[in-house]
Amino acid sequence: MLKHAVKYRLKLYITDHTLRSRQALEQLRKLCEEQFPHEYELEVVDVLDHPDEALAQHILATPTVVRELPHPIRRIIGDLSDVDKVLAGLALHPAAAAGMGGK
Amino acid sequence: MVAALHKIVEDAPDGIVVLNAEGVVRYANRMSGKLFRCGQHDLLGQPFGFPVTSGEATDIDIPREDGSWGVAEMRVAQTEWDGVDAYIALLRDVTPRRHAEQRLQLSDKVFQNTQEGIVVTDGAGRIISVNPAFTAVTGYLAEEVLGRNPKLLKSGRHDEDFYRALWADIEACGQWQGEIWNRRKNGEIYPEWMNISAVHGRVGEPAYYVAVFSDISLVKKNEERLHRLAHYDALTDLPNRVLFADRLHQALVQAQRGGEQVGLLFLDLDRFKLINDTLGHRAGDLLLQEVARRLETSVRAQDTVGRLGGDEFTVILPDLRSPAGAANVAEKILEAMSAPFFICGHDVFVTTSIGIAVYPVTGDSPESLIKHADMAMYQAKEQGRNNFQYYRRGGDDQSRDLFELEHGLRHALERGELRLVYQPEVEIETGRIVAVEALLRWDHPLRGDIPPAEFIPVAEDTGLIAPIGEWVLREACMQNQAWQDAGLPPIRVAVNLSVRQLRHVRFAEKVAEILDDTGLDAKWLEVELTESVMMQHAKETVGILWQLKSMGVRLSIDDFGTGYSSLNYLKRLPVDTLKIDRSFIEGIEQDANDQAISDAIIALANSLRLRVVAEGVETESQLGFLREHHCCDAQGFLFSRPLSGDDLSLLLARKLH
Repeated sequence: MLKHAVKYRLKLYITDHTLRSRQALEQLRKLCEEQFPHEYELEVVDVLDHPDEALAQHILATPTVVRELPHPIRRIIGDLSDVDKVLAGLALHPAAAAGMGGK
Repeated sequence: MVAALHKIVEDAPDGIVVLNAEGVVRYANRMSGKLFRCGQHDLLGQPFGFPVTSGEATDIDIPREDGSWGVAEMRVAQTEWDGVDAYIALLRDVTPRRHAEQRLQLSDKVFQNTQEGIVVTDGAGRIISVNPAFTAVTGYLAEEVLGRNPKLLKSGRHDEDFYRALWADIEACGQWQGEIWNRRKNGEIYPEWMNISAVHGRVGEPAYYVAVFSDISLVKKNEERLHRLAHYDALTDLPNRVLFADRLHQALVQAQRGGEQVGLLFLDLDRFKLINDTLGHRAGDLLLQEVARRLETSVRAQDTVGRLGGDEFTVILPDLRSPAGAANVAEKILEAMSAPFFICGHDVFVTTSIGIAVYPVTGDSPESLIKHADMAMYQAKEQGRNNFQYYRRGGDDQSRDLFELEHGLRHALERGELRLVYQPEVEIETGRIVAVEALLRWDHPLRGDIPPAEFIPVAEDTGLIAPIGEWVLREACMQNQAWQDAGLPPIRVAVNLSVRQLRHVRFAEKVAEILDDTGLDAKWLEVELTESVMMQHAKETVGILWQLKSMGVRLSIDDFGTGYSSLNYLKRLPVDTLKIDRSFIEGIEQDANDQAISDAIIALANSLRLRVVAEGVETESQLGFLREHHCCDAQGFLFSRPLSGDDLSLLLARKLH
């Protein structure tokens, strides 16, 4: 089986392509690649380009990450540089991390 | 007490929101409502998100409906709310500060990356900052010049007065711009185009001076090459037609002042064509060079020998005491030509016929002198060649012609005898029509098609050019808009302007009115001025040209290369396009001189980032040369002759499919 099922679906909301937005995207992509490679989907939405979606999703400020899968939906806002804090905030506990008990 | 605390939190100058463990807003104070541009109670229950910060604080963006966004600095602390875990997010509006920082970063990027050198000094003239382009141009590293005075770049080519005038300008209007020669670290001196501005502090005294410059040595070199090519004949190194005209004009001005006479000699070699045909072009060229040398040795130091082209030479004899003086020179020339020329192993015998006109006796203007000397030369030929003749007055019914022309022209407009034709300007690379030049035609009821060269000067002399010029402009704009309305691909229409039109103070308003009336967007209108008009009347026209530019109208210089191509004017005037004069294109296939001039004009245009159009392109090999030398656009019979508005629509429509 080459194709893996998507277990994690994240949506990143940013405002314009500022330095902060680019950093947030890089950090989140790196986190996904490291934590759950081949099992995630990451979508980026610029709220200035898609104001209707931002309104529908009640995006108050950015960068906001919405965890759409696994359910239930959770969202975090702020600094995405600290992997542990991001994972904790999104209540994600990847199998790899959980499975590596002792050494 | 609780009420007091509540009020303090409510009125706090920062946004305060309380979030539950899922990041949903449980409380928001008044300031947070302001920050998100909604009522504070609308925030309750909103999924703000679980706040994540690493370290002290983190910036978040707050998008706004108008497409802009604010920035808030967020700090987070843990707390309890109604007995369960909760978070306090403290949000401080830092929008103005962050936006200012961003602007600064942008300015710095421009400073670091621009191609133009920048030097900033303090009020006392000490260098406090330079950019990488400064180092690239001057060769000095930042650390070598910081704290020093920009004087270290002085070339020594300008005197005290130059710098005094420069500083006087800066003091008077806060700014100076112009050409200045400076010295690189390696000792080489070079020209710069420089713009110096004083930046004032609070007290009024300049706090900083900012100089922005670009190295124009390449442009300058092109300009000098062009200047040389434009004024001297490459084959014989004699003054060409342009410089000849200038020298003649000067000689007449001086003679007028001093009450002297000026002799003008026109000569051509008898049966030169025969020599060319039998011995070849190379021999012909060598012969012309040798003739030039003999002519120069036959005249006085103050005389000018020029080559008008082909085997036509001319001699200007300033400060002549009597018409007879010209005969002495003519005799000397005939004498000098009598010895055989040794060319390619052959003794070649050449004779010449000389025509003489004398100011003010047989001509009081350059035009009449040239015309009369030319006519006298033909008289000399008729007399059996190898001699000289003075111009003799014959019957002159010219003035009558002129009167009739003027009379007819007065009614031409109202009788609808004037019409416009349009000649395409084509992008060489793609063959696409990018513009058309509107050309005026007069169908005279009796005399048929009268060439513009004949009736335009009459229109200018009589003032009829104003109503005719306005009609042309309106007609051209109307036609162009009609093409666009017909769904044809939009193109520019170029209209020739006369200096008389530009002298009209409200000319720009008139153009605006015409654009408004016809509905044509200004960017589809281009105005063309000849180089000589542009240079001679730069001072009076520059204001109007900039007004036109600010409206979006484009400016093109016609007949470029035939006049006094001055970089200063090119840089000061809002020029978009240079049109290479057809006379250069005509000779581009065989004449090295024309090739060099065309090449130099293209190089100059490209280095100034101007569009360049070759006029009068008639053959594939001319086009080949232009393509090879990166000429952008071309115009001429090879692509299309001037067409009526309807025929041009058909051509445009055909190109569409």
